[in-house]
Amino acid sequence: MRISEIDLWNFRQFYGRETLKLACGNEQNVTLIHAENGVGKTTLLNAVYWAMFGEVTPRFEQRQRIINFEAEREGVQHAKVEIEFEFNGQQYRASRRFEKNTREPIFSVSKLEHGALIPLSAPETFINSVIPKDMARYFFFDGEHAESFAAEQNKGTGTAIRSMLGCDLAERGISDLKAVGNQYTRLVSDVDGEAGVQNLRDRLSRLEDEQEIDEAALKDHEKSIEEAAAQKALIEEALRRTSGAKEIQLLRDELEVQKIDAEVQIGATRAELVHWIGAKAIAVTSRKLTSKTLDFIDEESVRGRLPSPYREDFIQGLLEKETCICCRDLKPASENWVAVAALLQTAGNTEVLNRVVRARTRLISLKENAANAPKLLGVIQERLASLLARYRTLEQRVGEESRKLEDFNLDEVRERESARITLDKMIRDRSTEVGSLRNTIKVRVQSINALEEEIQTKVAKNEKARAIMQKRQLAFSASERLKTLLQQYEEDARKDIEAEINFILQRTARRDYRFEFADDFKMSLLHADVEGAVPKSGGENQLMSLAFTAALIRFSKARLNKQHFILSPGTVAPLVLDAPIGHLDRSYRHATAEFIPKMAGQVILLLSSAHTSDGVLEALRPYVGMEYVLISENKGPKENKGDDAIDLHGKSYVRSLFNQERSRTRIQRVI
Amino acid sequence: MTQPGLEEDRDDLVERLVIEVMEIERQYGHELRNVKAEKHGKIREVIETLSRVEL
Repeated sequence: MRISEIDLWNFRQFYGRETLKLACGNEQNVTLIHAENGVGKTTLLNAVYWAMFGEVTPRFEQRQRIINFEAEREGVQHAKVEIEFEFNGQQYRASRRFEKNTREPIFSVSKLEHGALIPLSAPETFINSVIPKDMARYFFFDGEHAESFAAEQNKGTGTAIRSMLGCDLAERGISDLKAVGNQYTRLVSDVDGEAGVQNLRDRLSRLEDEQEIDEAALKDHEKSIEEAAAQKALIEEALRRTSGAKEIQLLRDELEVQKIDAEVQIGATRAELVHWIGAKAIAVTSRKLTSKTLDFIDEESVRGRLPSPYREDFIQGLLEKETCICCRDLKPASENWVAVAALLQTAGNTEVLNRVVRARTRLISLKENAANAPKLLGVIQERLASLLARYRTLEQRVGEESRKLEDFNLDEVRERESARITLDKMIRDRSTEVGSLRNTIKVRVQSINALEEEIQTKVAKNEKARAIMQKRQLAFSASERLKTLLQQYEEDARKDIEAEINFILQRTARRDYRFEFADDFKMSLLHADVEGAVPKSGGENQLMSLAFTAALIRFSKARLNKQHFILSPGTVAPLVLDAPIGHLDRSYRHATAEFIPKMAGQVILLLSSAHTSDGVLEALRPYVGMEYVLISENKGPKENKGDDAIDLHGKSYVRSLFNQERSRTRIQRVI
Repeated sequence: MTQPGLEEDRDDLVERLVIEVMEIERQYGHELRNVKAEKHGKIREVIETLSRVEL
């Protein structure tokens, strides 16, 4: 899919009609848009997403306000976005129109043939086949969003891989098979003569319904945590870029890193404590008993008499030789023979002796363990107390820094911090609910299994009921099988993407980094000179996230048109990148700018003046087919504000105009 | 039939059901209208057929 034109009518900052023609060449595949913050970069990105799917990205503020304020004031009742694109050699035009006071925008897709528009009957289905919504979010995102992939607590990486892998159909299959399995459960009670089963079936059915509800809630919660974490990362990123707030945020970042480190150490120390209980607690509690038993075994008066003063083989030898140690004859069945043979009853043997030796060894070990255990416990407890104190201090300091931002003398910062706190609380609350839901689901699985077994036993003799239960089992087994297959493919995809990221890093990074996914999809950069993961600066986060995005897109492209028995094929779509190199230092910027055009067949790159230095434009220039400047027109006076002029191709473009007829954003073509 | 034989048959049935279900999911693809009941009906039909084969 390649987009050739975006048309906006009264969409947000854009008053009236604004058109953007995009670069579609194989060589010159980049459309470069210069825009300062707050002028409309995110709006442009969202216009495309909204036109196709009727949704906007999470960070789009005041998402309900679609119609341009000025136009609305003048009585305009609608806004519209149209996108012209090519797909499989055919041109299409997608249009979404928002009418004030109507519930749903009107969406249509038409095929362009000989200049005529031929409407398609199922536009949503068609758009989803061009670019599935789950995949689209990884093409139409901004650099700041991309960066959040690398954030410590981000869980979006796994979701991104699953989306690009095309798991959607298989996931629906899993859900449908479970639903059908549940339907069979309900059928069992209809079988005549199985009265006792009905009660069990009702309970099972109720549990399965509850399980379905909780599983859906879990999915929702996980998704909302993921989105909130991404939004929180964006806010923190914005704070890092705001003068004055920057230092506070950076200190908070540092404190958060220390907090995580303390958390890890607290976890490890608690594990040590548990280990101490397992290894030493018995020794300590049985110290007296151990000591007394050992004393008893080692006591002079009983030494040599435990387990017995006579050994079995010694008595046997006397009886065989028929001679006692006092040289008397031991004729079989004689009085003396019987007396000596009776000693066999109490004689010790090698096995018993070994047992006593082993018991003694164990007792000695217990005694030694008991001796150093209290000291060891003291050391562990002291360390744990110190770590907990350190954690509390760090938490306090994070709180202090947050309060500084809450009281900051800039509305923008205060609002961001307030939003961050709300998101943070939401993430914590939801995480608790997720933990509780996971536990409930786990416990309920056991109850479901037990009930199933009970029903199976009860209906074992009823042919009809047994047949239904077998069908039910078949549905659930197939659902489980699909789940296992998806996990396998996901693991393979993870390895492919990891290899691709390493390949990209080799070409762009100056240092010899190695990228690695952890089991929970956490991304780490490793370096031979650094023990553990390399601490991620903003630049390294951005580089890693860009490499991840590029790897995802390549992965999707490699799967284009590939028919797979459970996975949907991949897709090709324009990549929209907003400020993707803001955090990179000079050495990386140039290499990354050279790399960006190769990330996708078509790239829409939004850059502010802060990103266009250090040879970035020179590196991009050979690939730029279209270039625009977003101009902010303001009704208000200039006062002390700058005009944000930019020099491009020998011409100066003033990007902030004042005392204008309306406040709006204009799109000015440069080349 | 021996136990391992039964297991193999069951695994085979599960594999066949997975393939059939995915075919159904593909048929409905990105259909936006509520097609759950229809899909479930088709899946049940497949299960009935497969179960008849086994029984």
